[in-house]
Amino acid sequence: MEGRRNWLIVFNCTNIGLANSLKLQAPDLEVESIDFGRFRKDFAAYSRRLATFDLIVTAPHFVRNDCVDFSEVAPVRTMPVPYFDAYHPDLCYVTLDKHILKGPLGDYHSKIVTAAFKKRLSRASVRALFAARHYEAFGYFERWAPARQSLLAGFSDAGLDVARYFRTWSLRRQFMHSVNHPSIEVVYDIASSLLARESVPHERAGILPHDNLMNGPIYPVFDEIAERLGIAGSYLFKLPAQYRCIDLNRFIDDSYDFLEQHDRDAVDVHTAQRVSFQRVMEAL
Amino acid sequence: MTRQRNPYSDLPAPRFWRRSVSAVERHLLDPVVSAKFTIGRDDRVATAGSCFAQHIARNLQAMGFNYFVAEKPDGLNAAHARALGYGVFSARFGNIYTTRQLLQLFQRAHGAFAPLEDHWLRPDGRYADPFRPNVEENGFATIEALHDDRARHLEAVRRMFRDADVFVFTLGLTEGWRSVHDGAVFPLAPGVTAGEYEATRHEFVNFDVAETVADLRSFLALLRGVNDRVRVLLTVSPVPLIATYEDRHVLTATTYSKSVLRVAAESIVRDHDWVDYFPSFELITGSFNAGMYYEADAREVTGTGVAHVMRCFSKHYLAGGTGSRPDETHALQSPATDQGGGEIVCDEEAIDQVRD
Repeated sequence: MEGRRNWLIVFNCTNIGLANSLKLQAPDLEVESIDFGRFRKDFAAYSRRLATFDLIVTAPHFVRNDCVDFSEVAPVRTMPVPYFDAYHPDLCYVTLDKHILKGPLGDYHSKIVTAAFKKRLSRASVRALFAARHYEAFGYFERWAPARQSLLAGFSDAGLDVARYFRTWSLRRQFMHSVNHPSIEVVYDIASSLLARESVPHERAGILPHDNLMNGPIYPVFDEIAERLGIAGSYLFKLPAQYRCIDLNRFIDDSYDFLEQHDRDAVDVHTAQRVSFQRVMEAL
Repeated sequence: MTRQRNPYSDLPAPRFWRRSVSAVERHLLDPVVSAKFTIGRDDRVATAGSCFAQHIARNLQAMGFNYFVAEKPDGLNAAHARALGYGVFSARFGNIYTTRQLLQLFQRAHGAFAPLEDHWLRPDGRYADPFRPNVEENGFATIEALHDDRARHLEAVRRMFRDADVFVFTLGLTEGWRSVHDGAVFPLAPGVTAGEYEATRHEFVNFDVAETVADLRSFLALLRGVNDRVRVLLTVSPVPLIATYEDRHVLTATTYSKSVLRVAAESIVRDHDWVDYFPSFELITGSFNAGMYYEADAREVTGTGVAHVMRCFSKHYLAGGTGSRPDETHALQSPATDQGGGEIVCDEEAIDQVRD
């Protein structure tokens, strides 16, 4: 339709909720969205159309990707990928030869279990490591302030004012399903900030899209961490692509079963989480 | 152009709502600005008051502090002892809701007051102590047994007041029932669990600010008379009234009752340098938490709320707490931290799981 602005969102798994939130708040905006991986895969289909978008929104690290430099084909603006590990300091990505390994919870693994496996601790001894005194030693209780600072600074640097929403995000429950999967309320507010930054008229009517990330894996906020963050905790791990949870014992067992299929010394944690993983390794 | 100075210009952040409430995440809000004293690991800490005081007692014990139990059971297992009210508070007085009750407990323990109402008959034919009708689960078989137990109890109460280093009292209510004849105040209305209500013998009372302050002041003077080193920490229970006898809505009655108690505590703290006020009431009832610290009945306090209270209590009043040091400074100064987590890319399979 003539006069309607046409955006392309190339982002991580939040792209779907983001596009839905943008459309709900700005009825005159056309939004198409795609994740990084599929964009790469389907680049041929996109390459001819990139110049037709009024704006391309992507993450800073993806502006110049291995397919295209967005800044050369269309107006491009960036926003950071929401990453907040205060609720889930134990969550990590496990790699082998730089490839992310999929365990019982998909991409999400436990630093404690992984460190215990690498240190050759028996699986029977791992359960006792999920306790407050160990979390203290691992630094799991210290994550709120730095995670908050990092999250808000990233958005602020991009000209996005999400700080105004932060207190409300954390008021009633955890606002992240995992370190990089925010709840739909957060995605909706980020969309508002994006529309405000781009001077797109919008209205927050309070109609939220469905939370598609609920179908992915959901890492629990452990009871001892949750208590300090003023929310209800759990040790139930939601499995990916199904509405079923497993308890901590099963998670440890399944994780050990999975890790034991790989070379103990070659298994590592993603470079982005290696500092905190090292602290767990040293404390064990 | 220089900004004009005003009396608020140089005040610290806790004096401003926007900076100390609006800008602070719920679980980090800390309304304690300074503490008059701290509690050492060896200090004997006695507690009394309404049911919210039980949380403080339980947590002090769990944290390994020297919770002072002056009245101990003989040869009972822990569960049975707890069921009989041992260790719930420092002595088996059950809930003490009003300051008049507290004052009279001290007076009864020290022989300065002997209420006319001596015992209540239970529906099962056994006897209850009118001043702690629920502490003996099965009641007393005889009046003599009740008297013996009461004597032991009051001796423990004397010991508690005499030997405590810190006395934590949670003010609970202003409404109560008392004897028409001698003013003895009961924790429960006669007839609720034992005894029988008689209009000629019992009357309703709703203590006002002046009465509450006067009772508290009298109690503190008596306490200091037997224990010149004791320090007192006052709190106000955030648990609303379960019922009011006033001809008004229970919510309105609750606001009145809690307001009186809060004003009374403030009045006392202002002129006693050995008495402090800990704002557990504000932590639980404050608008900052959007009602998150109450259960669905809007009355019982959630475990999360209690945990928040105990975090602040521990930080400011317990030796070894972090005092006024902001929690966050330490973490912000951590030299090494993860970088680049946002650049981890979910693969196609992961994306497919959340596509619709």
